[in-house]
This record gives sequence, structure tokens and C-alpha cells, in this order.
Amino acid sequence: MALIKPVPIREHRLGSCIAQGDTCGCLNQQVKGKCLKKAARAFNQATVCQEWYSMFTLLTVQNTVAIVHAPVGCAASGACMNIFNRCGQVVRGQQRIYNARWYATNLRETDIVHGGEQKLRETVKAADARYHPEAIFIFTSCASGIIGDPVANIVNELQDEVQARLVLSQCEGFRSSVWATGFDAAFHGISEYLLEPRAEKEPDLVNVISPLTVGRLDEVELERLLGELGLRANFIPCYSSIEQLRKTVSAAATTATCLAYGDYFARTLTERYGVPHTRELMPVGLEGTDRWLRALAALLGKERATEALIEREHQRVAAPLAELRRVLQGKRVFVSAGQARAMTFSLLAQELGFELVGTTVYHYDEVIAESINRLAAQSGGAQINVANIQHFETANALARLKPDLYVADDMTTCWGAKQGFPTVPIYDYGMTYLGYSGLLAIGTRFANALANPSFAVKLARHQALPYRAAWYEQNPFKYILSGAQA
Amino acid sequence: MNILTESPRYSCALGGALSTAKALHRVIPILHCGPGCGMMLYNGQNFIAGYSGGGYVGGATVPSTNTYERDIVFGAEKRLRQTIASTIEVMDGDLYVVLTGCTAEIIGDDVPSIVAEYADKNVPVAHASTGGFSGTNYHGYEKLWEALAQQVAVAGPREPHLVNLFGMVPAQDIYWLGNTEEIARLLGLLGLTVNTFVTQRQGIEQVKQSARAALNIVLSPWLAEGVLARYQQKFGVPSLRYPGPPIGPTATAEFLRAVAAALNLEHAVVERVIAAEDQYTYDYFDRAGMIFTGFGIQHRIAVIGDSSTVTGVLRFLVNDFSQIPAVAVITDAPPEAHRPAIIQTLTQLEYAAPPPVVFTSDQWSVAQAVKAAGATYILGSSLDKEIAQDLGVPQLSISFPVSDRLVLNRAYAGYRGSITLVEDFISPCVAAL
Repeated sequence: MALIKPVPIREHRLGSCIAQGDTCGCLNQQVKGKCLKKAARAFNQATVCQEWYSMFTLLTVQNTVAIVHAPVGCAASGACMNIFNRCGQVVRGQQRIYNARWYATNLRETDIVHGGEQKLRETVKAADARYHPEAIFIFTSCASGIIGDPVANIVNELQDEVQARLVLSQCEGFRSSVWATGFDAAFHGISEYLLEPRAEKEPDLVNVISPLTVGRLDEVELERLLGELGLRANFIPCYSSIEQLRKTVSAAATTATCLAYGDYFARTLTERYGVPHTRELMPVGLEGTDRWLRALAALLGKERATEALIEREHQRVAAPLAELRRVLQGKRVFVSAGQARAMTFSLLAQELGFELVGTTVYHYDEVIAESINRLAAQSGGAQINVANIQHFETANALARLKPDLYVADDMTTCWGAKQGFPTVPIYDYGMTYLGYSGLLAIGTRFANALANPSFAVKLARHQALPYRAAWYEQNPFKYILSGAQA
Repeated sequence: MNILTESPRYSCALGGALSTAKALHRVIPILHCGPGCGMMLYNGQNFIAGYSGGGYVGGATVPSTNTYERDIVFGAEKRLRQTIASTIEVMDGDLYVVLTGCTAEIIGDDVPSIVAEYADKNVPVAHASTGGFSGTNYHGYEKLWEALAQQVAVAGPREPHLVNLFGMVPAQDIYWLGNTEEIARLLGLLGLTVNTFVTQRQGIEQVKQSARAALNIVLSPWLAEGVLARYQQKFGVPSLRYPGPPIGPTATAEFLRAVAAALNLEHAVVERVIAAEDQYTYDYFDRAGMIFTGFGIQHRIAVIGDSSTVTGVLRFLVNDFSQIPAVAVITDAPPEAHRPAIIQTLTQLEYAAPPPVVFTSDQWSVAQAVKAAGATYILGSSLDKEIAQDLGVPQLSISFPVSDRLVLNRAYAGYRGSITLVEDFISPCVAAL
């Protein structure tokens, strides 16, 4: 086959950026005026690269093997993702729990000098012979990229020698400052190496592109809602089969539980196979879920049934929601997360009665422009920080804003707790976050966290963050360089 | 040559240097590498070492240059200078250590020269060359300690009762903190002060005074040769190697006697300590006897993991607790030259017949070796739960990676640790009851 080109990076495709700090209102003005400048930082902390998220996207696809063409450390996250993988099987009720299969080609000094081609060939062939997988995902790395191993060529040549379908994900970490490019690299691999046109259509099938952080309980909630509309969900790619990936081209529509994640693949299915897709971020909260369902309904002519469903669900949750609002009214919250969760959880917190004091969103681009607009309308004065984590900025902001609750992912909740703030994680396989049931579950969890903050309060009395006292006196965005400086 | 590495049980040199540096209190690593290395290695090393979080700095708080395409094309020295300067402004530390990853090493940034600029500024900045392709995280541990010995340790008068403890790679040895505490407790009973570097908020002061220690104690069959050589040559500190944290009365007594001999400690004191600890331990083993003998718990054990842990666990369960050694699988890729000694330690057992010893870091090969050995109990990593499931036998996670339990100060080493290991070993046999 022809050589597959790497996916365009999000900086180029969507104008994504990772460094801004302002109020929601001011950021919204910059977005509207299209004057949001590319920026960087003079001080950076460790973050995540696109290789991580490429693996994260594909590692749990059934009956496949992942091969990371890299020094061994670039595969270190495999064991971490295997925790998701095993947990995902447990919550799906599987009796036997299997590991993900991942390999490092283990590039060493001599390979850096002479090339690692042979190791890649041998590893691909061995993985094929050992497990007879349906597909083998191959991931590139900084090292393989810099030394210039012709991986796309090698993959094409190797395809004739193995039974598994080879799928290349070109995801060198240095190529993009926006790790979401890694999602695109993985989906690019799926669309280029796996998908083919199909004549048959499945008019009740909806592709739901869903990241590994969305759990089975969320799927159950969405299956329930879509079921009421006579629709079936095809959750991909996590824990799905290769056939589920292939039949995406036959579906009636595509939606996503996280548009930041599914954006590229949803667009691809529309452009190449005519499967329309929705542009709502995430079915979180009352309005967020309403909008998510309505967008899908508009594509499939299900408006009336959807409005009836929305009305029933609103009635169902009205009483417990009112009680949650009574408890949470006026509490102050800070949210830190990736695009879709940062926006939808910030909006959800307001629905629950919270005052939003600040949001850290891991990158900015047009995918969330409309949400920023809505956020600015309600909380124009709240701080918004665009940062690929950069915890030092968050810590500074938290020390100033002193929220009652810190809602974030597991990369920073522990540091928030050290500052004394009770925390709630933005994902957890043990709980429903999405849909109307998720609204009540999240609200209850927020209330629980506020009701007993003992761990964080006492931890903060004993532990310190690794920042100088003087740092908290500085502008939290001091190290952000404007476009020209960057 | 076996090049296949399925489900690797270690990370890279940068990962080892990072987990080792962050284990020293108020030491701030500055990563000079790609954008994802820091979080990837934190999660891929600490998170899956029994959810080993916390510490003064780590994960999302670690400074990093996050080198992108432009840096790779034009060099990243300016970016490193900027990062060191801003790190010192923002991060409150006693020592800053620049650790290089693959990209910095391949593009050839002159890190030593940049770090040397701080020599006159009264800010302690050290550096270690830890490109991921240069070796595993064990290599990174060695490189960091060689750098600290060279750049931070300060010569001075010998402290006759001060010893340095090396050999347990933080967040690679799952029980590194608890094991360190127990070994330090025992050495304390001999009248020694221990630079553990990783417990009780030890940090730069202990690294500085490490040059004055009377002895380097290394608990590993092979690790840290270069570190020991540096301490010997530069500071005249001799070393004692024991093949891993000793576990149980037999091994621990042997270890304590070896330390006593190396330091010429008073024989009677050492024997008193051993006798008291021995009796304490056997009073608990006596209590274990009811279930151990009553349920007839004697298994053909497969022990899988790094050479230190496998040596300690296998020898204890076999020499002191009557288990039958089915196979030892060594996953930390020790240098070839050290393998005969490792095999000897694992096969010269008091009563039991010697098990086969397999060296592999490849999960497929691990599974093949364990299944061929007819094991009825698997002591390994959480990855090996799958093999136990296939065989229908109990499993206990003792080696990296561990995701089925939280590990804080749990220890298997020494006397008290061996009591915990007996509890843990027997618990899976009755877990369903």
C-alpha cells in the first residue's frame, strides 16, 4: 500500500495551544476576536506526550498486540494502562481477566547509531506467531523518529509476512505540544489501515467514540438513554473488537463521550464514509446531556422522542437535584481537566449551585470555543488557565482562590489534597459520571467530599508542596511567554 | 539473541534516575527530555509500584524542559538554561539534579557546561547522563548515584559507625521503604548509624556525609558496581555486598554477621541481637504453625522478579518454611558476568533440590517457564496473576509491577518483614473463606 503520512498535529489542524491565563470573559473575547496567540512557557513541568495517548487509545482493543518502537521507558505506561484494562474487564463482569499485550522494541545505544529496524521486524513477527492477534498496533517514539527509522516502509513490507493486520500510529512525542494529537495518530492508524467501505447500513447504530477514562457504568447510562430512542451504541475503541471498529462506517451517526478525543475520527467517518457526527463535548450535567442528545436526535430525525425523553429525565431527577443544590449552593469550586471534562464539569458545577472560581483546561482550540462562550456568560470573572497540566500555576491559583472543592484528574488530585482542599476525581470506573444518572452521582460525590474534608485538611498541616513561599506571591501566569517571546 | 520484551518489568535509565532522585527529600529533579517522559515514567514506575505516590516532588510537579521539534532541530541548550534558572526561582529544594533523556542525549546538548555555570552561584546543581536508550532504570539508579558521589559527596574524617545503604531501587523494589526501615532498625541495634537516603526525610546532608562512612552495604547481587568503585577510589569507603535484602532468621543472621565482620563489631553484641530477634520471630512462626501445618501448606513455588527479591523470597520460603522451589525467574537482566553467582545463591539450598533459574524480561517466556515447572503457587508481579489464573493456583505480588495492593511501609526483609511475608504467603490460600 501507499506510504501513510503522519496525522497533522493539532496546532496546525485546529490552532490548538497550551499556554494562556486569564478570566473566562477575557479569554472568550480573544477567542471571538481570533487574537488568541500561540504561547509557551519559560518554566515547564513534566506532562504527557502523544505517544502515551496513542497507546491509551488502542491498548484495550480486543485480540490485538501493541508494539512500541522505542527505548524501554516509552512502554512503561503499558503496565499503568493495564490497570485500566484489567479493571475494565472486571466491571464488565468477565470471569477471566487478561493482561493487555504490549512490547517495547527496547532500542539501545547501538540501535540509536545503526537503526532499530531489525528489532521491530523481529518483534512484530514474534507477536504475530505467539498470539495470532487480529491486529498489531505499532507506535513510534521520539528516539525512533529522530534516528529516522523508516517505520511506515517497514510496516508495509512486513504486512506480507504476518497474518495480523498491521496498524501504524506515528506519534513521536516531540512532534506536538498537544497530547491530543496522540488520539488523532491512533485513529488515523485505524482509518488508514483498518477501515473499508461497506455497502450495508445499520440505521439504528450510533458510534460512540469513548476514551479509556469513561467507564462501563457510563456506557450503561448511555445505552439506557439511546435505547429509549431506539438506538444501539457502538462504543469504540476501548474494549471493542476489530469488527466494531470496522463497522463504524455502516453506522447511522457518530457521537463522542469526549469530543476532544473523538474529533478527528468523527470527522474522518463523515468525510470518507458519509456518517454524520455531532459536535457536543460530553453528556455531563443536565444541559450538557440535553444538548448531547438533541444534537444526535437532529441528525437522526428523533427530535420528538428525544424531547419526551428529556422531559421524563428532568422530572426523574428534579427532586434529588433540588436537594443537592440546597447543599451545594454557593460553594466554591476549581476544576482541572482535559478539554471536554474541564468545560462540562465547570458548567455542571454551576448547575449544581457552585460558584466556579477557576478552571485549568489542558489545551485550547475551536473544539471548546462555544463552551468557553457559555462559561463566560455565567462565570465571566472566573479564572481560566490553559495548561498542559503545569501544576505550579494551579497551585498558585488554588492558594489565592481557596476553593471549597478541587475537582481534577488523578495527575493532580493528590497535590490539591496537600494544599488542604477536598478533592473529587473527574473519572473513576466505580461511578457513573455521564447522563442524568451521572449528574446525581457526581453531585452526591461533591456533597460527600465537602461533608468530610478531614484527610486533606490534616494532610496539609503535615506536608508542603515543593514550591518556594515567594512563588505564591507571584502572578500565576508569570512564566507564560507571548507568541513573539516563545 | 533474545530481544523480545513483552510487558517490560522495568523502565529506562531516566526512569530509574527520576525515582531515585525524588526519593531523596528536597532533591528536585530537572528533566531534560521530551514532553511525556516525566509523567510516563512517574506513572510507569511509581504508580504501578503498589501505588507509590507522594514524596516531596514527583509526577506533575517535576520540572522538565519538554523538548519539541524545534529544540531537536536547533538544540535545546537555551531551553535548559531557562529551565534551570526558572526552576530555582519556583521550586524550593536543597539540590537540583539535571537528568537527560533520549532526545537531549541524541541531539548532544552540552549539559555539563551548562550545569558548571552554577558552580559559582552557590546553588547546588548536579547532573547525570541518563538517556533512556543507555540502559534500564537499574542503570539510571547507578548513574545518579555515581553523579552524587562525584558531584555532591564531601570528603571528611571517617565516621566509624556510619554506614551507607544501597541496592534497593526506589519504586522498583516494591517494598523498598519498609525493607529499608527494617534493615536500618537491625543495623541500629548493632550500634550503627545508617544513611538510608530515602527514609526519615534524609537528603542532601546524608549524601554529603556518605563519603565519610565506614562501609557501603549493597543489597543486590549485582547492582551499583560503579558506585562502589567511586566511593572506594575517591573516599576510601570499602563495601559489603549481600545478594538482596535478607529475609527471615537464617538469611538475616548471616547478613548481620557479615556486617559485623566487615566492621569488626563486638561478637557478643551481634549474637545477642540475633538471638533476641530470632526468638521474637519464632514466637510468631509458632503461631503460624497452626494453619501452616494444619492446612499442610507446602507448595511448588515459582518466584518471579528482580534478582534481589527472588533471592530473598525464595531462600526464605525454602530454607525456613519448607516450600519446594519449582522455578526462579529473574527479570532484571543482570549482567552476564553476575549470573553464575546468582544461580549459585538460588540453587545452594539447605535441604531442597535446586530449582531451574531462568533469566528473561519477556512475559511470554516467563509464562512458559512457570507453566513448564509445574508450579502450584506463584510469587511474582501483578502481571503474573494471569498465569496463576491459567493454572488455577494462588498468587502473591512481590515484585514490580504491583497493582493489586497499596504498599506503604510493608516490609519482607529482616526478621519482622519475614513475619509479614508469612502472613501474605498464607493469606491467598484462605482468601475465599
